[in-house]
Amino acid sequence: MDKFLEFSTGPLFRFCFSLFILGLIRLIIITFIDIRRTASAAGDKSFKYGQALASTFDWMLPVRQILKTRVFFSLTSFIFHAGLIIVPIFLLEHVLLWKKGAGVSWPFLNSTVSDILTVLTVIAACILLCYRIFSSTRRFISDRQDYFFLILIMIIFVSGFIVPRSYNPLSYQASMLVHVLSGNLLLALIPFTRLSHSVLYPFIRIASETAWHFQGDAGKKLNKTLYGEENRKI
Amino acid sequence: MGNEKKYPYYIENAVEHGRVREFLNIFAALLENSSYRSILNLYSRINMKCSRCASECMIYEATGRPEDIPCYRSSILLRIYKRHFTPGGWLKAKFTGGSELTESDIDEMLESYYNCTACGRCTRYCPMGIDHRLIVRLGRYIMSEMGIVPKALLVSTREQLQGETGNTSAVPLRALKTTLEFLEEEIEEIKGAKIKFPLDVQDAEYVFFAPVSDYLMEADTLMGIACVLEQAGVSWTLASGNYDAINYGLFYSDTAMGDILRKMIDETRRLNGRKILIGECGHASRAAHDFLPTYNDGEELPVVNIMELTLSLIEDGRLNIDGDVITESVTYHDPCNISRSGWIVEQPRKIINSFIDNFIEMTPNGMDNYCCGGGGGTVSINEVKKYRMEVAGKKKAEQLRDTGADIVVTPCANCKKQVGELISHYKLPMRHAGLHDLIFEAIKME
Repeated sequence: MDKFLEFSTGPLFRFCFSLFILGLIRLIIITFIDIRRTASAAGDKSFKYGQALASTFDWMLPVRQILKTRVFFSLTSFIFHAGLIIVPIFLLEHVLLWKKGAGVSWPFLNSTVSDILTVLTVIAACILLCYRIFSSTRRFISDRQDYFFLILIMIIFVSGFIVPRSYNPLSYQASMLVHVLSGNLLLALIPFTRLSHSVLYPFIRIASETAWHFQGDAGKKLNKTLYGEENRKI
Repeated sequence: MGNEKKYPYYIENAVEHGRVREFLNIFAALLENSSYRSILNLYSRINMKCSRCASECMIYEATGRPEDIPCYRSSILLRIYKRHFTPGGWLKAKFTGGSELTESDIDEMLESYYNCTACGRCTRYCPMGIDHRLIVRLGRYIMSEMGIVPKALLVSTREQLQGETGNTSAVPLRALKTTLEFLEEEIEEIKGAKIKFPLDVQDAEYVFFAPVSDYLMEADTLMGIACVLEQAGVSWTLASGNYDAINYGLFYSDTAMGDILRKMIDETRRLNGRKILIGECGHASRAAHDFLPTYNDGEELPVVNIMELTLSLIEDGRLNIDGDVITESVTYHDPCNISRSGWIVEQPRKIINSFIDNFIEMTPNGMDNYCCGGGGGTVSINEVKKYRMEVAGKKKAEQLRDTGADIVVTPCANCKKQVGELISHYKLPMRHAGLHDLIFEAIKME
């Protein structure tokens, strides 16, 4: 088991992490090119990017828009996302691993704070999962991915949380293995699933604004392709 | 036959077979000739379906059907795109099978995409920033190229683009001239002022386009606008070659929208007008304001909504409106197409407050306002009236009742018709009016 754990934290992690980084860079480049292409083909070149950016920030922090309605759901979702981003990056143990493995270092969280954040994140994930399971409308629009990722994230957080505890029902190695394997899986899947919204989020409103700027001759070109002539009787 | 059963609204030639292939062919042609692929790529990657939008959609609130959740609506088209037009979707289908476009998907879309009034409220509340209104419109566009488009919209647009009269209500020029004479006589009788509706004046600052239905149904709005423009000495004109601002292309087709706007541009150029002035009409204002530059070959041609102009005239002290005429309480309905973007929210309120003491806000209002229930072209589809009253307009009726106001101001031809019908359907103790209808009552023309 020790060997396998070593493999998971070593080569496997490096592979998954590279997949994660390269995949995300690929997505960002694709999205950037897509937006550029739409913008340069647009008949109208004035874009309200300021408005789009302001709204992007508005929806990142629970200050204005988010709390207008659906307060409980929105706050839960905010806490979930905050924990999901902050804990893995600033957890003391993770920072130490980076220092040891790659020689880089950054500030870390006090362990009580990270414990509280972890618990809150797991609770928030539970609530979000309950929404999807127990609300019939929510169940209708959810698919396997939606449940799978919530459960996977809970597994990562719970297994990581119990690793050093005295009440850990599993052995140190076993819980660590679960934690590392599920963490690797998540990292590797992010760029290829809807979790890619984690990096694409800042582009979405910009892209939406751009998408409303059509090509001036698109209608005529479409007519030509479909009916052989630019103008046709409707 | 069978049309009534298969389609919830009349369409001209009900297509029964081969729809799947046709849908995909048209979708492919559209992707090839437009920029939609970029946004579909992005949306189909990140569509989380968190359902935050559900509580903001008046349709879902009225029906409680999960099919009416905005992100579900969008997900139908996004799923088809992903499956048929991306390598990832193709690969996934190889492994898991299924999820191909089916006849029943098309049935679902043709119902779903016209149940939606394209008000854009869900877009405003999507934490992710997905523009569901864009997707619904794209779905309608593809279907319209297959011939699936409500007859009411198609016939009007056909008359506007190919018909003899060149407008959606088929009003001939002679009838327009008679109407204008009638309006001039009415103004003289009511206001004691001799006013002429200028027609085909060259080099005017503003070329005025009202929704043509106003000439048939909204005389007070037009008389109010004429009084305002004449009293302030604005240089304006109507155009005999095109006097219709309505643009149903905004609701279902880029092709139609472009053609209609080009007509408007040509007519303004013919008269050498400097700006386009749109009357009390939400969608026509948005279509011209937001999309005219797209079809104007980069040339600048400002588009102004009448409320912007009227407010600036009031602020310049060029209008004499009596503050003691309208004593009833007044509320204001924000038409989605001009308010959702924040373009026209403050102007009408300032105008109202300049001559009316008793103004009551609706909740919510402005950029967050609910649609009247007749948006997205649905107000002209008579066969869905029951749906508009009992489902789409339910929320608006509640909102109106809660204000307790005597008059609801709706500066939009679409909203006027829908709100008027809501008031009689729900027996609300109020009347509706255009903003310039009230100005017409109060303006002193001496």
